[in-house]
Amino acid sequence: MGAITLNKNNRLFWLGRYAERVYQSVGIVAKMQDMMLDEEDIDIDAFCSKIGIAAIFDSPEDFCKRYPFDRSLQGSIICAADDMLGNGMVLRELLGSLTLSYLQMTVSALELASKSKSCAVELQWVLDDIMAFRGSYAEFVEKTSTRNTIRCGASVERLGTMIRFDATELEIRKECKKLLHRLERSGLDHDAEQLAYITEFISSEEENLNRFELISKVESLFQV
Amino acid sequence: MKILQFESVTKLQLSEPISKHYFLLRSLPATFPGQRIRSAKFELFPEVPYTLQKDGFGNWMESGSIPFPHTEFVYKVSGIAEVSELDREPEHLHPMYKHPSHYTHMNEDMIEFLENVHLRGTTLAKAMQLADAIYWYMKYKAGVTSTLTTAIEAFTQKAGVCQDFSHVFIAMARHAGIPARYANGLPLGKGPSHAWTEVYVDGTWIGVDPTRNRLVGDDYVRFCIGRDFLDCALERGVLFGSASQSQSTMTHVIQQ
Amino acid sequence: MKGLVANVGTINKQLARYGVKFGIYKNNEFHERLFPFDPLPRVITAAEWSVLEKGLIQRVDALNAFLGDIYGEKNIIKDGIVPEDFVYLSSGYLPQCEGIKPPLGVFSHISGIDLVKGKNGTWYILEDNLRVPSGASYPLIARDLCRKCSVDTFKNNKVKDNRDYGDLLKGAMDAVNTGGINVIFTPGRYNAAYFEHSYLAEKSGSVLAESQELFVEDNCLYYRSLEGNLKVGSVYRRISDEYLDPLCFLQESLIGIPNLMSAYRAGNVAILNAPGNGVADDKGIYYFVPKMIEYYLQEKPILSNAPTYLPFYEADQKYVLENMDKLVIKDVAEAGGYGVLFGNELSPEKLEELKATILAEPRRFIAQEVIDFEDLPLLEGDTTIERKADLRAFVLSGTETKVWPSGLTRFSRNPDSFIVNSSQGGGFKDTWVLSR
Repeated sequence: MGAITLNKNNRLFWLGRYAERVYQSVGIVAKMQDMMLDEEDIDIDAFCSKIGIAAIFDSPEDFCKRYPFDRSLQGSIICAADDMLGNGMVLRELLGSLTLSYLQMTVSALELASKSKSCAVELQWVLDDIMAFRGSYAEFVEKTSTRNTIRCGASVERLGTMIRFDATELEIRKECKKLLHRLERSGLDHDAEQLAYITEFISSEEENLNRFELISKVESLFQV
Repeated sequence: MKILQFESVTKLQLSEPISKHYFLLRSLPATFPGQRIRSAKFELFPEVPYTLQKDGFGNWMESGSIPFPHTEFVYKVSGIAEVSELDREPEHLHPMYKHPSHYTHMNEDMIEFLENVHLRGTTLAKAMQLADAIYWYMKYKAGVTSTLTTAIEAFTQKAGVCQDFSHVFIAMARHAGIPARYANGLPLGKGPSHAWTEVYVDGTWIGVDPTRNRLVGDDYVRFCIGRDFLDCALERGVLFGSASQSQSTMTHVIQQ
Repeated sequence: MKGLVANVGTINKQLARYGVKFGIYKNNEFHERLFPFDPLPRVITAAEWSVLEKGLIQRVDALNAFLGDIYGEKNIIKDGIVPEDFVYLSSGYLPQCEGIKPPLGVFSHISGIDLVKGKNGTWYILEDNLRVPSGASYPLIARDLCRKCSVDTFKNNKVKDNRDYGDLLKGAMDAVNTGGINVIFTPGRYNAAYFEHSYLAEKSGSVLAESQELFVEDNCLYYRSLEGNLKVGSVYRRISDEYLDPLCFLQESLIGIPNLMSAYRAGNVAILNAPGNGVADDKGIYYFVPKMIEYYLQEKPILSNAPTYLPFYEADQKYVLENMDKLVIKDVAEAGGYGVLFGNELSPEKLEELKATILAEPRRFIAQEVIDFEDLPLLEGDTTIERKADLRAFVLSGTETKVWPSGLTRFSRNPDSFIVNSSQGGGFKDTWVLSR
């Protein structure tokens, strides 16, 4: 047990990405709800372009209803959750049935929340299940490299959200450091040029972050 | 008995380099009843290791892979065979040769054709009548059929190459109660490789060539036998890459 | 058992949580469905089991001997016990496998033997599955979850533990392993039994692999690991024979491994189950299994076949044609509950049509007496209903032959159906073997 092919390694990475995407996306819905409560003037289309999905929503309410649950909507949370489970399913012998069950529960929690009136509260279960998944694989996956491959995927995804949503440069630097730390311990192939750029960014003191460039460097760091 | 010196060179030319290539060849003749291989030499280019094994029909198989990019694949076989078709040792009949196989099913038209031939006499006489009828009914024509063409398809278009003549013959012979099988290899002379058939007569197999409307005799070197082409492909391959391929085979058999 | 009934909701939630599903194709689309579970187990007493166990071992040993004989000496045909047509006309007979001697001479490592229990209390063999029988994972995980959901039930009933199936499977794979790792070879995620493939890989400690992760080099099979290629000593393949190796079988197979059969023929890797096993689980060959037991083992068969007639034999043909309305007619070419016709359900025209087909192609059919088999209770709402159910017993062969003390009990919800098959709807139950 524990022998991994390139194919499985790629799946581990994407499992990490999709799990983190689900987690971050639930946060985005909460953010939208906050904005609605505070009666801000919301530019829904600009918001959509920020998170990288098609601007097809009539209103913030429409967004909160469909973005989490609509399977026919490309980039919805449930689609990310399905992809997360799909990647997990083919890794059962590495993750274990228990760890895998939290991914199944995440999808089930989303399906349940879609039927509820107060879906914001219900989405809390989704976060709980993802947290349980993180704890479960940290506990049960034997190999350091396997765990770190999943974490690399998570870091790439998290950095994407952070950079898009105005995280401070300090915070971004910290997350980049974390990513490189994980990269060292993972079994992933990476691109030396992109790595050099990110290393340079971490050590530089200047406040001149080109956010778009950094996202593209992070996204193409791994050849998966 | 004849002593035949044989040589065959097959060249597979690829339009683009392919990264990986698995092959399974049946390009080395075995000693069969009626044929003794005195010596044989087998060469591969690129030179890669290969495994030599006998398959379930008694044919030699050469299998292996080329794990690096290449645009050409050549295999060459040469040797000396003693052929004495007429004093073959008796063989047990495997019943699979009595029934239709992948390429050798019949349709209504073929059944009607077969009925109109009115086979009579000994088993061998019947086989020769059948070969004669097919020989005059079908036209030898290259390029109208492929390695996937079945007996029914070839019969319907009344044309094909040696593989198709043989499949039509086998389908009809088996339907008429004559056990028949597919054979291929090299006939005396120069040219491409050839396919023919064998029918089971009184305990031994006898070669019948429906494409040439004749008994096989001692001037064919047999490479493979099987139910039909499926079991006897001289070459099969799985290629990784998107190259188009062209293949040429040159064979030469002379009597010593 | 009350505890299980009371906790049925919890059990079903657990099954959903663990993704206990099977896939089906509908209108060319892949769907996954939960495999419906009925909490009331089938219970087999210790006395009953000891007979079943001996009978199943005997049967599988004879079938393995038959396979070795057919692809080797063929004595059973020479001695006139089995007519050659039944062997060589079977689509499961693969001449490509002639002369291959698998490790330990085992052909059927994991056998799924389907049985039914008659109302008279007698068990009958319904069919043998020696290719890639599936289903063990379902009762395996269901038991594990039921034990958690209703602790008292298992305290009060002395049920033989069945959770060692993974170890049994590992044992069978290790026994024939030619040196290297154990691999479960799956066609991929969109296969009906993918849950089972991945679950059994986890439970047996095998590596789950798809074709692109495996390759043959120097006539050995390897797994393409990131840390270097690992030699594979035994491969439990969950794809059918014709797709295994595009250089030996179907050229167009994209899910096979080129030259796997050459490596196998050379004895460099064990394939579970052996290719070519279909010749022994053919519906036509079924009739001859009791004769095989006498021929190879010189023993009387412990378990009975359902009374079967072969229209191939003249006397049987006469009986079949005269008693069509009492018989079930099976087309030997069809599998999975298809091609099964009940004489009493056919219109007079259809009946005549079938008779004509039987006369024209007598080898294609077998006919069996309809067994009045025992109903099992199913939970429906707050009450129970009685439905037909069969049992698939799993027999594992390595250095010795063992029967898993459990099995897959499948039922049909349709009250008129005698066919229990998961590809035609229906659900499953746990199977308890009592330890005393």
